[in-house]
Amino acid sequence: MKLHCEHESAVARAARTGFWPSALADHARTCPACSETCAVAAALLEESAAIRAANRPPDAESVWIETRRRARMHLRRRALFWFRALRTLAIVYIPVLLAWSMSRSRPTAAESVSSQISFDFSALLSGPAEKFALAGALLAALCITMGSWYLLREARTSLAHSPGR
Amino acid sequence: MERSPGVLSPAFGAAQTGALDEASFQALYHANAQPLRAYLLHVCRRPDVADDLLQETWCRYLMRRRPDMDESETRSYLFRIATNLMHERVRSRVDSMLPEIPEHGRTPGLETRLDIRSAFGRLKPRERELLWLAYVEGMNHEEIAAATGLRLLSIRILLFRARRKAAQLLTPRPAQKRFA
Repeated sequence: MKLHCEHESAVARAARTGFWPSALADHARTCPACSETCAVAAALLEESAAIRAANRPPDAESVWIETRRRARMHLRRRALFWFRALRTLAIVYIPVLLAWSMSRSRPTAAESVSSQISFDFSALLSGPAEKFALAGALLAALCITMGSWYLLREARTSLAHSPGR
Repeated sequence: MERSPGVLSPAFGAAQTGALDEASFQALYHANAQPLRAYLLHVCRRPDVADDLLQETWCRYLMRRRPDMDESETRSYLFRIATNLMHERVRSRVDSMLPEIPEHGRTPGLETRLDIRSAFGRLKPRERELLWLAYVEGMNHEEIAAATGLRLLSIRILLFRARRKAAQLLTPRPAQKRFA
């Protein structure tokens, strides 16, 4: 059988509209490709009519409300990603900072307790530690800004027409 | 910028610059929801899944649409989203353990319809997609390529194979009487 007939799309259109010019109907009777197209198109159109008659799509309002709800969820997930990233950074950053500060000064237990009262933390943040602290602060600021941006976008999405909320 | 209460925030997609109000959405929905749902139901064959995918199709459309899309591009884009969602669903095998939901009630012509449904049920989802888009939605090869993500050159051969297979499955139905 030939792969394609030039009248195939016209036959499919005629099957869809129900308007059969006599020349096209004659051609479709004799052309195997068009005959096959006609049979398949007719069956599909029958199926389509049955589906459309038996099933109505959900009403537009409920889809609109659900869409808005999912949009808010989507924004919330994006915001949460940045706050989770911030938490992960904190989990890594704080122990590293503690370990570093402890290794820097190794006093005895008694000295440690007494020195903690008048410990100068700003003295720790000098030299390479300054860059480390600055990088941590910048990363934290970035995560907070990104997360807040998505939260603010969510807040700007009005909920006045969302009775489901 | 202050948004009116019935306007969905379009801020999620980078390409998005305009908002769609509820009235415009309803007009768009009424024009496209039924064909989309029929397509989804024909390919995935479960009303509950079709409804879920229809909802998700609209969500994705509203989040990612470009404001400069015309009516034809919008339709094509909606079918593209629906097709991609069905493929994602098939890949995730969420519904593989669930049986197909049968049609309830006896109505005239039900057996014939069930024969047709059963015949198309033996096709692959991709084949059902192609045949539906070509013969029910009346899309040309370019539009089918846009809606399915397939290469334009592949459409003709894939459609031919799908049509052959469907015709063989529908063999007891005489073709000639359709245009007699």
